[in-house]
This record gives sequence, structure tokens and C-alpha cells, in this order.
Amino acid sequence: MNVCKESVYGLLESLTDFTPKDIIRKVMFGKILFIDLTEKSWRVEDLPSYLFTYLIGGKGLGTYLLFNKNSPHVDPLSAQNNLIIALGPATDTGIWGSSRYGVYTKSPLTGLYAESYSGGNVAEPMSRTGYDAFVIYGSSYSPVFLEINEEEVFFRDASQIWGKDTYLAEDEIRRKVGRRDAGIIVIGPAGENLIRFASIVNNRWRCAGRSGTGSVLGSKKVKGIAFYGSKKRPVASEKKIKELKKSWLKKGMDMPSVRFFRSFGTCGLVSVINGVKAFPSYYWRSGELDGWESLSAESLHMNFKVRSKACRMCFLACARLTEVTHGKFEGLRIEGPEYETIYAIGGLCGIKKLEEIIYINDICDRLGMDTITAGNLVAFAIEASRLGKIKERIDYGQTEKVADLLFKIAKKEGIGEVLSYGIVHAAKEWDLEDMAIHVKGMEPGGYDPRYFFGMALAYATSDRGACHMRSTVFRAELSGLIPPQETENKAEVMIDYEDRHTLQDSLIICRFYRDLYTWNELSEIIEATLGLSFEKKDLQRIASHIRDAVRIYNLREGMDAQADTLPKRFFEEPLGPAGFTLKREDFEKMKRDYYRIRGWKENGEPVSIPPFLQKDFSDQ
Amino acid sequence: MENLSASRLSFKKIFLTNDLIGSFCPLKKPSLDVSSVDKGEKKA
Repeated sequence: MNVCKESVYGLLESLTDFTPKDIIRKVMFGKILFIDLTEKSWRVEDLPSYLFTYLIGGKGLGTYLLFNKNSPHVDPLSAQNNLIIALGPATDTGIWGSSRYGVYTKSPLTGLYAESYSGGNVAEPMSRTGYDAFVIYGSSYSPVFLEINEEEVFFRDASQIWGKDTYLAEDEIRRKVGRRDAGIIVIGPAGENLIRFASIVNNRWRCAGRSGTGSVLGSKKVKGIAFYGSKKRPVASEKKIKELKKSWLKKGMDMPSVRFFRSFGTCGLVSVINGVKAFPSYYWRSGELDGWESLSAESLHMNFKVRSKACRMCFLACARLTEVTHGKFEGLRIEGPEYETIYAIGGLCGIKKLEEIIYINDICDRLGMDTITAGNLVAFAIEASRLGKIKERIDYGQTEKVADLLFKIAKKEGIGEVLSYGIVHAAKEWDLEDMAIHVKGMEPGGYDPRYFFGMALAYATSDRGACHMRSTVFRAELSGLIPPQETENKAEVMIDYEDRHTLQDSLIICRFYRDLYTWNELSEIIEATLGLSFEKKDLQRIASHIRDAVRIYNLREGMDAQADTLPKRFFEEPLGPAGFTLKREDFEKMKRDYYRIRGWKENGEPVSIPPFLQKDFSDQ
Repeated sequence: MENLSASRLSFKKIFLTNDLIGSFCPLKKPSLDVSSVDKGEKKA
């Protein structure tokens, strides 16, 4: 293993001309596949190995490609917007939690940086094509699906599955490709109809859900992509990976958070978050849903046929394969519902029966739309209806009307069309801008920031809008590491999570391994895969540079520091029934701390440009 | 248009036929044309 004993990162940073230096072994494949849908052609670009020292892969690589290949101010739904699917050094190495891929593009929902990740078992076939990333641009004249292997790219007619739901599309593409080992991603009718929060779906229920990546594929007339191949991703030491896996399995099985996910899945959070009275309900009016017990993990496991399910190379097995065994939805089977769906459909829309949430979840998955944004928009429409801002009558708990509205959104019919463009458009159209809950055009996850102050900071500063995944600091606030409503040192803790998650997303590793993979373990994964030895401060600098790169991308697209804020209601409306409040001055203090620790100016601009943004290093 | 409301249809039937959102597509039974393979051109 070629491990540099001194800080390689420091050495590279000292280079002034960025001339490729052969100082590290060949890592990753070093190959990027570019697919031109307009011309139905493809080409391969090489990336120098040393570049991965800055980028790691995944998010770092996707950001680098997006910044360099996308022109500034490009229309997200135009042929000029690149959609990038990237893999990391951990992909297809067998490392726990590594069966994931990342999607990077300009978001049609926010007009800013988009990233989204999905698990299942498609990352390995993607990797076996021999590429580290796929850059898809242009636009096909008629619907196609792509078939990508290590030798060729095929552009196949998809006109007969255009309009079909995601389940059927995946089945048909698999049948056509004729390979059981193919990894397949698809979009549903929502993506085809350019709904701004459409998702990319794989393995039926796994979704790169947020930011509207599905509609970017839809704008290019791509119904799906099948990947297969036999290339093996190079790693520094397979022996080391095997040793690490063995020890982490033993350590992980004893961890309380692992036992929690294995026993309850993410829906175990329903009782936890209601318990602290921060479960967003009735469009962010309450932190506790009356009757939440019927939506809990206990209720799920007692009243439905449930078995746990895992992505490939995962021992957490957080997913629940759930079948409804009673009532009018008998026979309905999905993977889920996840906590975020329960909060958005159940809490925000006041639906208190799990089978009805499963029903709505299934519709969203088949249509190919993000359940978090869908639930938020429906709840917003309920408020609009109550206030007489729209003619349509819809109220909390009306499951059939919720289902009908989702179909209307997918088809862009009536108020569905207004909602299909996202919360910013709908709020303006209905003159309800003070009511709307979002940051930069995207709605928050299920952790009310009036209780979780760390999440207030995370939502406000996240690059893709009010995202709960960029820094899951609520974990620290729930565990007692730092009190939820403490502002001192909150930015430090939040940044520690954010930086570790940036590395996880660059390697690409599932978020739920966050308690197992601390700085030391992340360093070991990088050493075993890339053959580079990093100290914690080096890793923090890498993460910080990637974070700065995303920030610079957003600033280039016209965002400014004023966008790093929260909806007015979070400052002015106490959260019932506990009455939690977030003072604007407390929030501004945390934000100032965040900018200072990040090394940003008061206007939110990074003071320097990360080295890997200063030049396009590819061979074209 | 086919009525998609689960209250008026057997959900089990919908699920098993895997065509809940079939009304989005004019063709009920998709069958991809195997002769339509289009090999992309590799550029240097």
C-alpha cells in the first residue's frame, strides 16, 4: 500500500501550478463517462489520480464536475444542465453502508445546488461499468432509456413505458436488458411532467428523493438507466478492508443506535420526536400529533406484516418491508414508511392511520415524487383552503383528497399545477408567503427548529434548502451531548457533524453509520481504499473545501447570505403545545458563529477558492 | 379516465395488476420493441 506518511493534503495544497504529480498510486477508475443525449453519443474523460486527494469522490467529485461542466445560470430543466451520478472510493468494496450512489445537478426546485442519495443495490452495478461518474447532458427528442456497460452506451426507445409508474418501468427495463444483475434507476410520471420535486427511484422503494433530480432526467426524456459490468474498483488494500469490516461488525452490533435501527427502523423516531414535542404537525402548528401512538414503530410491528430489510452490504437493516393485512388496503406492500414520510404525510396532513400513510407513500413512490415535499405542499394547500385562498375544499385527515391532489400535481391539473412548481411559486400565487415553510425553496425534515436549535442552523445554511441530512446535529441534541436550545458551541457541534457527513457523502456511505464511523474510522476507510493517510485536521480541511466549493457554486448562481434564514413563523409563532420559541437574535448569533468557524466573510462568502475549483483538470 | 380512487376499487387488485397509474399512459400493456436498440456513437 502506497501511503504517504506526511500530510499529502498539505503537500498538494502547496503546489502552485497544479501540474499533475504522480505522487499517489492509481485510485478509483479515474474515468468519467459523458453522455450526450442530443447527439446520442458518448465519450470518456480521464481524471488524474491525485485529484481524488482533494475530492475523495462522490460529493467532492460531483461538485467538481458540476462547477466545471455547468455554465453559470443555466436553466435546470434545459438541455444544458448536467445531471451527474457519482460513486465513491467505498463503492463496491464491501465496506458497510457503501451501497449508495449520489446525484448532483442544478435543482429545478431551488435553482441552486442539488444533491440526493439512494441506497438499495444499484451502486455496485454502476461501479462495475468502470466509471467513477456519469455526466448526462443534452436532451433526447423522444423518450429513451440508457443501457450502460463497460464497453458501450445504448440509447433505447422508451416511448411505450413513458407515462408508466416507477414499478412497472423498472420491471420493463429489466426485462428488456435481460440481466438480473443490472442496476436500474427510473423516473415516474412526476419526473416526466417536470414536477419540481420529482425523484429518481430504484429497487421500487429506494429514492434519490429531494431537490427534483427526477424532473431533470424527465427534461432530458430519460425514463431510466440500466447499468451492468464486471470491472473491479481498485483499492489500496483488500486485506485491510476485510479486517476493518470484521471489527466494525462486532463493534456495531453492540451500539445502541444500531440496535435501535435494527429493531424499529426509522419509524422508531415517531415516539422519540413526539416525546420531546418537536414532531411537526398540522403544517408546523404543533410539535405533537394527537394520536401519534397509532403511527409509532410499535403500532407498525403489531398491526402489519413486517420484516426488516437491508441494502446490500449493510447490517443495520433499517428498512421495513411492510404489508397491510386488513381493511381496504389489504395486500398493499411497500418498503417503509420511513420516519420522514410519517411526519410529512401523517403529522403535517393530520393522517393518523398507518395504512393510509402507506397508501399515500405508495402513490408517491409510483409517481416518483419526494414524500417530504409532497406532504408539505398538501398541508400548505389545506391551510390555503381553510383560509379561503383557493376554491378547493381539503382538510386535515382527508386521505382520499390528499391522494387526488397528488395525482393532480403529477398531471399538473388545477391547483395541482400551482403546487407542481414548488412552495415558493404556490405561496406567491396564493398570497401566503408568510405562511409557507421552506428555506431556499425546499421544505425541512421532521425536526422542528424551535426545539432543535442546531437544526435551525442546519436548515438555514444547508446548500440545498431546509435539509435535515447535511448536518444531523439533532442526534447530538437528542443524546444530550449538547442541550437542544443551547446556542453556545452549537455551531461547532453542527459543523463537526456537517464535515463528517461531507466525507461520508464523498466516500459515499450511508448516513446511519454516523455513530460507527467517527473521524478515526473515516480515516481508516480512506487509507484502505485510496491509500492515503490523513489526520483529523486534514480530513476537516478536505470537508471544508468541498463545503466551500458548493457554497461558491450557489453564490455563482445568484444566492446570497440573506437566503441563510428561516421562515418568519419559526421566529414569531411558539410551537404548541410546549410553547418552544426561537429568538431571532439567538439564531443570528449561531449563524455568525457558523460563518466565523467556516472562515467565511460576514456576507457569507468563503475567503478563498478551493484549489480544485481553480482549473478543469480533465483531459478535454 | 380510469378512476384511481382506492375507495372505489379493490386495492389488492390494483396492486397485483401493478397498474395503479396506468391512466397516465395511453398504452395499457407496454411491450418494448427489441429491434429499437440504438448503439450510441463513441467520440474521441
